[in-house]
Amino acid sequence: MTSKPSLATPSRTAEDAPRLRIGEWIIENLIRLAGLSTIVIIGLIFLFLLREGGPAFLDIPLRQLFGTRWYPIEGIYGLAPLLVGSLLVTVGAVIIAVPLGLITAIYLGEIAPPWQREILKPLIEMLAGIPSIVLGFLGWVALAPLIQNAGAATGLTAFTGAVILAYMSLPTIISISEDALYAVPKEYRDGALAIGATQWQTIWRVVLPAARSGIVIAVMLGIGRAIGETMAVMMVTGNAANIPAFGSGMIFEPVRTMTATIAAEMGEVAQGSLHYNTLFGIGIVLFVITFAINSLAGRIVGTRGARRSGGKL
Amino acid sequence: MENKIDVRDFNFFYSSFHALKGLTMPIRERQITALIGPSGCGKSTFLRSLNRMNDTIAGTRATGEVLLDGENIYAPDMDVTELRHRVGMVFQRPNPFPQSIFDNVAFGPRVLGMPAGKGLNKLVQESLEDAGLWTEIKHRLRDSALSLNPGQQQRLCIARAIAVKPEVILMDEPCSALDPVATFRVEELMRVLAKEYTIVIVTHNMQQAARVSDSTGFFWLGELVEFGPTDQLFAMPQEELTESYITGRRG
Repeated sequence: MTSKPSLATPSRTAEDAPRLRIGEWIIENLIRLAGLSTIVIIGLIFLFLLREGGPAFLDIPLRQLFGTRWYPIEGIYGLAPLLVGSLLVTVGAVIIAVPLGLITAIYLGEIAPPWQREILKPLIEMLAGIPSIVLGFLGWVALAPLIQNAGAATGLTAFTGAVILAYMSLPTIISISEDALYAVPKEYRDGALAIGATQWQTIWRVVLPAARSGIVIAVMLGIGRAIGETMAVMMVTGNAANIPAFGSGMIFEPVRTMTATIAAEMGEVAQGSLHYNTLFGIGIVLFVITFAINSLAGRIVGTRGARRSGGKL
Repeated sequence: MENKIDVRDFNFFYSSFHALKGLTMPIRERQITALIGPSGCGKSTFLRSLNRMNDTIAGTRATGEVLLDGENIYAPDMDVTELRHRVGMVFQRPNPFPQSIFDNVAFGPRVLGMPAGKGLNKLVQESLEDAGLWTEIKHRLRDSALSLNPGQQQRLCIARAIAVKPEVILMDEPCSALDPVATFRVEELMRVLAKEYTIVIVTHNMQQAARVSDSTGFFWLGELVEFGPTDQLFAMPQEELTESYITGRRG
């Protein structure tokens, strides 16, 4: 082996070697810069949030901060109603959107004949392109009266927001889970069918588990879309910053979400006031929640990846 | 010798393409029947017709009869899932599900409604033993099936197929993705399984057909040119086309 000639070709002259290296250096660092800038920007955003919102957590007694009363005019800043509002709307949206989205994706990917798929897929992508404010408007003029007629005190409720949000996150959930189903090799389906599994058994026991990581991503992105949405929710949830009486009917009461609070009150506060700081504090809470959801998704997908490559089940 | 399957004047079409032309052949019980012929001659299509896997391809059509124990599997009242319980299949590329080794073998019994418990554990063990895989993997039943090497994966697929106690096992070039050692083990396994099961194997490898099978059918352009006992077909082919193919002059 030692007698083998070197594979490097000495054809490059000494003159263009440095130039090549400079080009290489520039490209490498441009790529590095692009990658790092994302991290830096996220870091800066968080620092900015901390600077503007941090005082809220220091100046407001914790008992009040997590209390049930949000009366900024009287200087009482309790975040609980807003947290509960966001929670109700988001969880409601997820409960509606995840099963509906998954079933639609399964229908599109596994059951629908090709001609139907060709019509449905672009339509679903169009749904994603509808501006949120238009959906909010739709909820306000069409859905809210329906809910009021069904017996709620007002049509502008957490449920109305949940339905609108569900329809906003549906295209994300459907198209990403459909992609995940599509990526499942045909061999798996053949294998299951050849043992005598029915089509539904094949989907439920083989295709869905095989597509699990993609579906988790779809659901998480759907939730991410739902929790951060502002305008549509502001239009249809009634914006009452109080906690509905606990019970099954609470979803049919008006609520106010964290995002809607920031959007609604930001225009009226004096910069640097405690109220101003608190609104940024809400931003920090939102940031932490979304970050937690994303890392949870990452962990679920991560363990799945390890299994794929042959780790312990 | 009993005929497990009787194929009578069977034709198969992909849309307008006439892929199988008037096939008539017996498949004998507890024997290995090999199907040989050049690529595209219809032997895989024929194999997939025996458990109606071709149903999953749009625009296909079949005429004639395939009698399994005297019952036409193309009859309108045939239950296809039931048929596939009786006629299992092993594919060209090993296709274990991305689940644990145990779950792969337990898949069929579970689909048939077998509850978790001692019965299922025993069945999984027996199937793995019959597939000659048990001693190698008995300590890692919870590991992903994808962590096995290709030869083990293919034997796992065989274990998965026999876990539902089929009567016939169809094998579509089961060794083409395997190295010679793994191929040898699968061939050995086929000989053992033939004591209990009726096996039909499609192969590109004529030595393999000669080594493992009892009967051989030679396909050419969608027709069954010659069918007979393997030693006879390879030693004294009746048709000139067969002879030129097995001696490597055509194909």
